Amino acid sequence: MIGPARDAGAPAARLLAALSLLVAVAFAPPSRGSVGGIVVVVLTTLVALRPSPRALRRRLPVAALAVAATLVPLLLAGRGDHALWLAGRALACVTIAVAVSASFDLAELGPALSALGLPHALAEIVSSAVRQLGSTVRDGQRLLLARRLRGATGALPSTELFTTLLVRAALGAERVALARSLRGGSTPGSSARLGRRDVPLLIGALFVALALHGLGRVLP
Amino acid sequence: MHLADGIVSHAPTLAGAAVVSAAGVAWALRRAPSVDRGAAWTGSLAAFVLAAQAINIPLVPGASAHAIGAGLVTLVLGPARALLALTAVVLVQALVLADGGVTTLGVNLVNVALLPVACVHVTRQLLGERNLAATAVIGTLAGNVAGAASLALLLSLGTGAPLALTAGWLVGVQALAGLCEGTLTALAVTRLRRRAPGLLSRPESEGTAVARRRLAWACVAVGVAAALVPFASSTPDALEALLTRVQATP
Repeated sequence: MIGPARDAGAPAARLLAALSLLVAVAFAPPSRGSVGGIVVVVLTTLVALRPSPRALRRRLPVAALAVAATLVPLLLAGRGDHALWLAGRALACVTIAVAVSASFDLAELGPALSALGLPHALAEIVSSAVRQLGSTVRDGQRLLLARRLRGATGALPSTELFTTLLVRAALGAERVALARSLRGGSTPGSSARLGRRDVPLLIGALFVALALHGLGRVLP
Repeated sequence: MHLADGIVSHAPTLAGAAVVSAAGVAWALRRAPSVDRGAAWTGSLAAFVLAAQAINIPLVPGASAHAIGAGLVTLVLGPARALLALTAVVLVQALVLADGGVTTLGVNLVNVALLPVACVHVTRQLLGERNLAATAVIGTLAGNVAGAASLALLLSLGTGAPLALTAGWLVGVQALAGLCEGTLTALAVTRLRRRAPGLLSRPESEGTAVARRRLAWACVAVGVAAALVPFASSTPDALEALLTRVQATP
């Protein structure tokens, strides 16, 4: 994890703290107090986690487009004010999520989710997916490049490429499953579990979430 | 089709979707055959779908769409493991890629995983194993449309957006996306059947006929319900009438 919040707690605790902030922002009532509170929470998150500007530049425009596409019907129905409030709140959530995710080690996700009570089988699939995402993308890029070097044209990759990727993924999965069984399976590491040192972080996040909700009610 | 955090804050809508999706995932966890042994393969396909969903294709001015991948994973893994793979995809997207949301996890699971997988599975049961290409096209299209219709309904309930406009917009865009995705899935599945038939899941042997009969009865039930809707009374029922009278009494 990048920035001073790296050692703030176990991955599960950091995930739980981020979730409580996201829930607080997502349910904030429309009021001046909420707007002020949300701005403070977003800025504090950005300062505390210091996500790379590249990550923000890469993900925020896509998220903004997705939010805008969802709110088109409200705009068409002439409820621009309501759509603007929803878009602002959604973009605040996205900014927090991008900041948290950009500063989260991918390998920590599965164990953290398992420590938070997600069924072990599902946490295993999440871990496996995250571990194989990089190799799948690299394989795809390599096959596309090979296809182009052989003189293939057309913007869309052929179904042959999909099939080849799937077959390679199946072979890779067999190797991963064999290696895993030889290691004797996997259980969430002790560093992923919640401990006493995570209490201040969780209480802090809960306090901020409650304060944001209270501010939204007090200042209309 | 991923709903971000902060757009819908209507707690009953979000809670209802969360309960439905949790029930679906619990069913899949119970039903998935030896999920521990197949976790790597399920994870591989989840990674494959994650990569595929990252590619947005412009469809109409102002809107782009991406593949959902439900057709491919359901035909390769079977419904239970496909549901788990897509659940992993939605979880990773919400927590790592900031695509979708945490409070809307239930909504996104229903629209992106539960309904599309159910549509593809039902289509496979109806059309049988000989028509996998047709299953891929029809099932994927139906899944996309069902997901979009469900999202429109939830948006209408959660934000007060006009249902007709929202449904028209979302279903139109997703139907187009579903048709493209379905065609690509059909081509991929046909090729996969020729090249590596062992990778495609086998449907459970016990019940194709039974499943078809059940589905036929379900369709009849839905048809009867739809036919009776115009005859529904617009006057309040007994409880509503009583409550109105009690409230009116000082």
